[in-house]
Amino acid sequence: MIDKGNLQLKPLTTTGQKIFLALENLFNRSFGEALNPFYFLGAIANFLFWIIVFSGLYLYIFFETSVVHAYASVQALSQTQPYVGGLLRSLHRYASDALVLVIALHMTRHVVFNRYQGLRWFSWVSGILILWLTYASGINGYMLAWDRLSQFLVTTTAQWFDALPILGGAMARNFISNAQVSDRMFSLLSFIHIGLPLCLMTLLWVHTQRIPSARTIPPRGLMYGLLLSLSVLSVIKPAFSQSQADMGIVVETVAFDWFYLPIYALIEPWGPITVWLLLLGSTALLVAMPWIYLGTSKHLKSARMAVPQDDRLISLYAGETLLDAGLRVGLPMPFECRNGGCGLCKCTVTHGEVSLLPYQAWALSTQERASGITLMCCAQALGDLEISYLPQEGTAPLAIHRYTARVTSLAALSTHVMLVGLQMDSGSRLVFQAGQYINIILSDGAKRSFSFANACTDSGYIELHVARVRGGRFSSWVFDRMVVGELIEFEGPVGSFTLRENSDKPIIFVAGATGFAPVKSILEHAFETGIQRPMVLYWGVRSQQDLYLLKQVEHWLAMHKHFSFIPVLSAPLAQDNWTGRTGALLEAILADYPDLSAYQVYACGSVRMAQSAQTSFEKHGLMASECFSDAFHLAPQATLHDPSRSLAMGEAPHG
Amino acid sequence: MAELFAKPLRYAIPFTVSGLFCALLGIFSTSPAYRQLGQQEAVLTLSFSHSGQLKYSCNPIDAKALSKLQPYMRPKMDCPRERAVVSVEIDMDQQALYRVATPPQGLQVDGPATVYRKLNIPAGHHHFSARLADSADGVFHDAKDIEVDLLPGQVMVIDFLTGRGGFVFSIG
Repeated sequence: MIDKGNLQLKPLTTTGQKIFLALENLFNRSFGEALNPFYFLGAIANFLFWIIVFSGLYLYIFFETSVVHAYASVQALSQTQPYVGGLLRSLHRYASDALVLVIALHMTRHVVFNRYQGLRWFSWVSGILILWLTYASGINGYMLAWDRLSQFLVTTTAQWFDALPILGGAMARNFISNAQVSDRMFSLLSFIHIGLPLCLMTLLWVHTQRIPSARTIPPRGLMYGLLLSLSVLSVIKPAFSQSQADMGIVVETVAFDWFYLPIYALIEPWGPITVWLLLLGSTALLVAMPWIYLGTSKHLKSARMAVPQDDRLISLYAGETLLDAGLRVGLPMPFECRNGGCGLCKCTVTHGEVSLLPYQAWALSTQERASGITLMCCAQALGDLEISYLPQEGTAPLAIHRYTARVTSLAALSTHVMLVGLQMDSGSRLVFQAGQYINIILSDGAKRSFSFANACTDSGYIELHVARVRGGRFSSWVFDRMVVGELIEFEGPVGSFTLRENSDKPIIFVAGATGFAPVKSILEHAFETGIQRPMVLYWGVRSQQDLYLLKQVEHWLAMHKHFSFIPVLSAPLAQDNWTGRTGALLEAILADYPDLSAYQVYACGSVRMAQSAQTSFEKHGLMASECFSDAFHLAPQATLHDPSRSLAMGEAPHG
Repeated sequence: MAELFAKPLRYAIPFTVSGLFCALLGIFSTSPAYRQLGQQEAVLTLSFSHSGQLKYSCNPIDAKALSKLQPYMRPKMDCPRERAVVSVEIDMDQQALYRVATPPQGLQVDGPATVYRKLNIPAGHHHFSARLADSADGVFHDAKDIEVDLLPGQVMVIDFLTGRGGFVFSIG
């Protein structure tokens, strides 16, 4: 079974989801999912912001920052140039109102679909800042027109701020009479009205930093439609000022913008302190929401996603969708709406389990789900998993990071295995998962793959076990010419032959010859992290001299009671006086473990050995999903992606 | 891909949605109007920023205490900075309208006492009495009366400015 079905959410969010999904379905069937505004709320908000900025820049040219002329200069925009200044003024207002509405929808949708926790907390919290800055900018803008609403706003704002102990009532005295209001106030208000949007602009950039491939521009159709709608509204109901502000007169009623000013309707009846508490309390609650358990994502844990076709093993954050994770590392995953609406971002989960956020039923059929297909934009990993997908057309192969390292040690472990110690250049750091490998780049660009033989450490040290291959270019270099101090260029880390830590099954490690290297890497990691699962290592070699790190293994045996070791020699020499196991490695394992149904197997060796292991072990009850080989994939039955790589042995066969 | 509606409906929905969206913006950007003042009401604003009298008088510092101070820091008198609470009473038509006692601002309690209070009152002819006490004894040393006709919506500000002789009534 591939997915766990939709998450069990609280009734409120479930109802919200139903409403959103129904509306989105309606819109999909009329707009088409590529133009469904619900899928581009963030981008629409961004677009509205730029409408406000550009219309505001025009208005500012004509605005006069003085008590006497501020009102008249704003009114003149509507009266003397109604189809430019007047239109832009109205557009400025309605785009600002629409911005609040769209932000509110954007946030509600993210809460309802639980897309604000985990890694998205950053966008959520920065979004709250954006919301309040939007409010501050809008309210500040209303003050500039210097009409009755401005008068109400400056006096009420002053009273509201005066309630704070630090001001103590001094601010409102600036507005007790017309004589108190000076031109400098308009300069200050204008300065704020430029400064706040600049802060908003910065925050909008920050807001999307953790959203990979975040869409900040809506589709053209939506942009044109929105601009046209707001322009029509501006013509039908142009924005006008109310009568001019006069501190000596208070009018009974003021036309009120309920998108921006609802809180101002509470200041008088509830008192400023209560409103401050309400505002600060609601802000604190909003900020804390990503960390408050709402019954939606506690079961989600960080996991790893193997993508064999891209040679990537990606660490997933708790609650992160597969699509976000893939895009984060630059995978060419297909997507459009990112909200379970278009069905473009399908992938096949070949191993592991996912839970699905709500999606439109037609975007993923029941049959598809049953066959392991899922929507990456809605799928959250329930543990380590492996996927495959159809990349976007025309995308270039994914680049792998390149590094240089210096050879710091060369130690012959046996007559035909050399330990090559590498040290990363200062300033560069390579983080890898135990069991992965690197591709060493030769002078002509040819590559040779070698598994890490140690666990990842902060020191930047890398250990490789290089087997001598007759006529092999790299192994000949290592054994015949390489000296300490040489620089080596490589790319990586790649591969997904890594320990599945979300299981408690006993582990059987199967290492053929220098297939011991990645197993050593994994074992070191397991010992360091305190994994207590029973682990047995079967190391198959020809003769005793090929057990090139026997002392190391004996040390592990002494240190870790849950670890055991069984060497198997296929052709022991007479001088070995070998009394241990002999014969074929796989036969030895099957003799000891006729029923493998309760085990996890990690096999690393020749391609033939890895494939044989999988076939033989499955016949003895091993679940296909519990057999891992160093063949660039978690699924042993799949074809090897890179047959040129000699598994963990170091040298490619044609090297 | 979602199955699209038949053509007339497919185009009608975006138009309807855009129309509703614009209607929402158009309506709630200006209405319903916010009522800040009742019919036939005027506004009285009491606003002043006034430093009360020093709460304690100065006392001479005795020689022993002075000798403990640096030679260049030996004032003859010890004058505590703390000021008295400023109390104001406003009566309208011989009825108590507003009472406030405001402590001085500042950590040393030596700043001005600041008050801003907006009161909606019935418009029309009124007699106002204002009294202020700014000394430790709490006695209202400053007082002023005024008879005014306030129109609906008109703002009368009661300020207290020592430089202008105490209470100042100004009508918008």
